Amino acid sequence: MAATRRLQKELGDLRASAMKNFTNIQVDESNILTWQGLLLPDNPPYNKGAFRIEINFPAEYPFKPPRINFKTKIYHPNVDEKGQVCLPIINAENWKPATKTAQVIQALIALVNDPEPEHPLRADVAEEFQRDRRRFLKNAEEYTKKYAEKRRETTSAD
Amino acid sequence: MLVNFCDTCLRTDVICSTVCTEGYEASNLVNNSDKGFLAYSCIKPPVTIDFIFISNIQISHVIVWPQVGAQKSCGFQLSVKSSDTSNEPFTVISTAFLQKGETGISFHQREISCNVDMSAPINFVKHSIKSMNITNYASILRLNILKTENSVPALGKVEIWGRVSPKCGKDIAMNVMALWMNRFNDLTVSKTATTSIENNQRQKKEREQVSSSLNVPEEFLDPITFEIMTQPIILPSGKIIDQKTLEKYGYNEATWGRPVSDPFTGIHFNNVHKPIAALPLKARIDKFLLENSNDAEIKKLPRVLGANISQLNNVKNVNVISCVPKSRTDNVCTVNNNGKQLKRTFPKEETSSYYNSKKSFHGHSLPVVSIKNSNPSNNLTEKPLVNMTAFKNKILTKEEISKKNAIIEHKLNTNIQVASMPTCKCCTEKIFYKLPCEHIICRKALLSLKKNQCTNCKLEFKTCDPQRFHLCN
Repeated sequence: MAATRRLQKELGDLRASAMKNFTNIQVDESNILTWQGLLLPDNPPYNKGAFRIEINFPAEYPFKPPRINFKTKIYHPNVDEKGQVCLPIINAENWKPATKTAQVIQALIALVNDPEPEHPLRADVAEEFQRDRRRFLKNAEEYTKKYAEKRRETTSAD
Repeated sequence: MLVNFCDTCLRTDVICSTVCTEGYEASNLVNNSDKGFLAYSCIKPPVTIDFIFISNIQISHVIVWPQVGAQKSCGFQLSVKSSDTSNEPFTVISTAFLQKGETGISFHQREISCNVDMSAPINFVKHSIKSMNITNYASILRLNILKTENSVPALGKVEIWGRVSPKCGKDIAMNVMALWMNRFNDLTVSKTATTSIENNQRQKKEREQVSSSLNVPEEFLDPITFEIMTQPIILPSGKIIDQKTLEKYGYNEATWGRPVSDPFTGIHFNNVHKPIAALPLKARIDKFLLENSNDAEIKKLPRVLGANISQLNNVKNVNVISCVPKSRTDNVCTVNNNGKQLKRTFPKEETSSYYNSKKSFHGHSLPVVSIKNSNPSNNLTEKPLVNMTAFKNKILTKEEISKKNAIIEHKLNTNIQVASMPTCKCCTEKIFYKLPCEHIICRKALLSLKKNQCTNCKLEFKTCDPQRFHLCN
């Protein structure tokens, strides 16, 4: 498979670099095309929990972009109920094969930290985010408390 | 002493008259496999299974386990034959049907019935075999499944007990006995064999891992795919990637209707900003590959760009040539060579029209334009060839040029036919196909070909080879 070598390299680099915002990277040995990891956003209302995401790479990677899914429910204008996330950097049309997964994750963390209500996937949440920030924060915090995984302070990559 | 001729050590062959379910082949019956035989799901009885023994045998008893999972056969007929010649008929020695609830059956000869109990489960139905001469000298035993319990013909296991026929020589009997006695040793031998195979595989894997950890210098790896580069090229951004990668990228970009650009910056290529071949790096990579050519990983690598990629070039029909800086000058070289040849073959004005047409090919103009532009006073039959040659030279990559030279030479001999093809007279459809030998053939002619063989050079091609050749758009 064409994608294998690049993914092995990226996985190795990612584990070695030990990002503080993306930990517990798990990859099934038999299928390197699916990664899971914990996203640790910095900004409230998400900074209390850990969000599990799944990255699915197509076999044509890096010529086709990966897809990212939230496994943990998150109250966010740019993530829908199914966990799909709208991230311009991995849009099929915008995708550049030179883009590294680390950059994609950085972009995702930036999006989670600072939602973009101009391009929402959940219009209701986006409207709430713009009109009634306090209620949005309250709802999002509740969601985080209810669904997000606990953060372990001993953060080690893997 | 009785032996089981269905044991794998006695090398009995088995032939089934019908299709088997995958994984439940009739050979399972003589493989010491516990899966058994199952006919393909649509098969109805009768199904015959022939057991061909290594020597003629005296059959003592036959035990049949008729069930595989829920599938159960319930009617059996045994017949034997003393040689494998086709003219000898099978002699039926026993027929038996199972009642509901009966789990198995054993066929046995009357006089040795006392032995049967030793191996057949107690609840198995006993059925006698007709005592005949032939049961003492059987070479093939045919088990015929006559009936099933509303299921697919199935056999869990069969044991054929007997001894080498007394009519065979003593040496044969000795050999068979030796095989039988050694079956446990064989088992252990085969076990050690399998473990040694496993070990080998493990070692191989380890070796592969070692080789994959073979220290390839970072600069030899494509920064996008992390494969060892075959044809490194320097992008305007200064990054070096494999040409194959750029082609794949260009192909994907083309699906979005965009021209090829630098994968790192997205800036489109132009006359100034274009990729150039990293020849010194290519040389170093080649040296490295040569030095490590025994490595399994490296054996898989192509040394030059393959045929598929050149096809890709044609499909895209984009400025891949411009990736290779020298290709244009190379083209000129070829042109010059051809020019000399042309001078010999053609009048002078022909060559000049060649250069004219070549000139008109800069940019994205299509061959048809140059046909229109060219001087109408020129010889009509020869001109298309010239134009096409120029066109083809344009779409050729450097690697193809050497191949091309040979073909051009070849084509010069057949120029009139080739030239007349694009303006074909058999039809007005103007649908042309290009064969792998570079000859152009119209659709009608292609369809009328009896063999997949070029009419001009007799070169054979595959059905998938002809590619649509667009002369007029």
